[in-house]
Amino acid sequence: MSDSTFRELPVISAGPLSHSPSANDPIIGIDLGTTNSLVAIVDRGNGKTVPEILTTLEGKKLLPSIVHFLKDGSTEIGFSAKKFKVTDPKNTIYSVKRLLGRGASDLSEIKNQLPYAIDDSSDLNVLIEVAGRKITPIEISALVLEELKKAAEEYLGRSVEDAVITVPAYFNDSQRQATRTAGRLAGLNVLRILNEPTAASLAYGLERKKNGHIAVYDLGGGTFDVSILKLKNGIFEVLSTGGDTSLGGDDMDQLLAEWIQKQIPQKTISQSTLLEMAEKAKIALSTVETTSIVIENSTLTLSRNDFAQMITPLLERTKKSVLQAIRDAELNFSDLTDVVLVGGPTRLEAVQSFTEKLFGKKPNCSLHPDETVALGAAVQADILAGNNKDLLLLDVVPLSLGIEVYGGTMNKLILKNTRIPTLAKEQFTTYVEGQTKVAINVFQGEREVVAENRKLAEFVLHGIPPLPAGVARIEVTFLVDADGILNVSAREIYSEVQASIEVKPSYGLTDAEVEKILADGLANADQDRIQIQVIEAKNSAHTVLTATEKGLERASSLLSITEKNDILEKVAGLKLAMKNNELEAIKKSHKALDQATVHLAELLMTQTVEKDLKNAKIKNILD
Amino acid sequence: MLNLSLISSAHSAFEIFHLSPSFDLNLDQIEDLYYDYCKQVHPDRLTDTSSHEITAKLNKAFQTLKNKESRLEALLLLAGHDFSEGKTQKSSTPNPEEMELAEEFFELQELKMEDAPELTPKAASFSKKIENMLSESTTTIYSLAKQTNWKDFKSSESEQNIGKILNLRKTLNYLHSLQSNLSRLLGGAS
Repeated sequence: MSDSTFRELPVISAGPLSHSPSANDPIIGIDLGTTNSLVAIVDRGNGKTVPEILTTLEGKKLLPSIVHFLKDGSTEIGFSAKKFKVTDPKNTIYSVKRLLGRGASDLSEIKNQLPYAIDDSSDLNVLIEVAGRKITPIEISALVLEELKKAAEEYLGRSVEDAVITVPAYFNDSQRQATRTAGRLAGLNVLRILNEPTAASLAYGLERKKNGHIAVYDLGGGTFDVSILKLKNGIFEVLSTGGDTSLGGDDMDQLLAEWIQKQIPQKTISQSTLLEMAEKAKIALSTVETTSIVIENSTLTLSRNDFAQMITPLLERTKKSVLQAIRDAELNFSDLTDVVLVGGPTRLEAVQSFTEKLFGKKPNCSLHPDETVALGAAVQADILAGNNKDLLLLDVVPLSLGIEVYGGTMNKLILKNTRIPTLAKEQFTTYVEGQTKVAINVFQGEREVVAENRKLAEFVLHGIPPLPAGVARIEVTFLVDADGILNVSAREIYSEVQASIEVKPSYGLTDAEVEKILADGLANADQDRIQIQVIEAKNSAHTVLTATEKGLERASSLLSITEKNDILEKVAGLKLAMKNNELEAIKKSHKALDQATVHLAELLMTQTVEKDLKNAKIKNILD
Repeated sequence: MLNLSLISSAHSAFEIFHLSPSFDLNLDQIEDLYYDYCKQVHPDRLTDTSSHEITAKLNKAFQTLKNKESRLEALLLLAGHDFSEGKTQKSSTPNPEEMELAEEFFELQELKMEDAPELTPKAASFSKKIENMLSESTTTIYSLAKQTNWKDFKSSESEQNIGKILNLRKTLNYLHSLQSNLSRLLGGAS
């Protein structure tokens, strides 16, 4: 087996596995939230050793994750965009994190809650229709990230390239990929995708510096996470994690909005006005016992107690995740030394008393619930910059990864809560005589039936020599890197005939699409999909051409002249089609070349098998 | 500085942590060593493309030693018994104890078909019995594993112990399959 047949293909990863920034480049930490985003840094350049939140261009710590599109196509971001939530709801895009990396089938519920238009005709990419164009949630997130990048550059007085961006621990692979892509579109080199509760524990643990077990209860605007960590001598080891990516403060607003409408059934009020009132009332209740909601000439009164009852079912949903996480960590409640609350909604008295009862311990609220995650991201950025050599984070994969096997069942290759990075290998073979392709479907989730889990991608292994069923052996390696993102590579164990991998990510943007958007600017993102397909078709044709040329070098003497001429003719045809950038012609010529090289592939296979057998014999004699 | 090739070329979890094969381990000490290694090779510290793969191998080795079941399988593998996927033990003829259990289960199946009221209490006591046997066999396996000299797995004493462990593991498999058959019989989730 020569090593050259091992194709390291970071196929669904958007960037290189590792990157080393030069020592003096600032690395920022970003909390890209559903409701608000923040940027922080440990400003070593100015002699600082602790993280701080940087003020935005609006002069605030928080940047509402909201983009308002004006008629001329320009955008406003942050508080200046938030003003338009009620007056211009169709062009004011918020809570986009709930759409990130998700398909139409996930969004049936969320869609009705959002006042802007969503095009879910393609399950691959949900598109937001705004200001006369269609734009992906990834691009909206990129605009928010770009604004934070500018704020950091303004503060530091120099350009910023590198960042650590946080995601909910329970985000699946597609959602992580989408976040990383958004960073790339914003001109950021995303050094690490970091789990939010892990980031929070860093900010918290840095302050306390004591060993023990901590539970992080992170209830954000749109997501809930719980993580159990072990702190020992500067090592932050995540033991387990769990959560719910569709549960947060937004759902509380939604319940409250429904309640308001129910009290005044005779009036028609827009959804955005109702949500606005709900949010205001919710925030008021974190400081006062009762609040009034005034709508035209009616006044409604809402007490803390009423509201607490209203949201109890939501909080009960977090209980299940907490119990599971503690069980997965192989701990009891009594083993926990600290409980940390993170996220805006944890400021609510109802949430605090609920968690105190659940954990049997007064939760720690010493850190600002809005800022903890960004501060932790800055600490991790500082670690990656080579500072803070005593600290290290060891994280886990939140959901099991597996492949579809016969009968639509899930064959788990990597179990949830496995420490990352982690590696798993699996061998595949053919089921039908002469089969030259194998399709592999990758899923993420805990259910036994793949249909109940999230499909991440479809891999097609090409170029398997036509052989009797079950003879070819392709080893596929799944590597989950330190970002919790899956990388796949493949090699054919038996022959030197190359097996290539083609990936169709089920959600998000392909690398080619990202390149296109970066080249064209965000404005033309929804056009030129054909061109992207051309790039992809050319990439795949290129692989076949290389394999054919290699094959001819080794076995052309075994082919008849007619066969050889036929292959050369098809090669020339494919090259011409590629030069002319004609999609259909490339596809057709590719297929023709595939057919012309069947015999060549067989010859190569036989050659290799014979060589293998010879080697085996020699080896036996030597033994 | 830790030698990276040492980890990538190591054949067993024991080798990575410089341990001679044994079931009885000082896990606290291993954890400290694991943390120490992580501080050197983790991708957050080492900006080398191989760090992801090397840390993956290190993580796996630590997990293997930490968990009793995987630790035992690693020791059995060193002694030449491979339990990785697709290489499960061949089922042999059931021993008298297993035959007895099979008969008892058969009776329960008949009660189920007759819809007999005594099914519930009988199934409960059968289930309890299996559970007891499971925990008993597991305890015995681990205590045998502790006594075994894994460094010298070819000695007659070690071979005898390993033989017993392998037989008990077969019994465990059988008990587990009975357990899932029972829950299916009672209409629970399979």
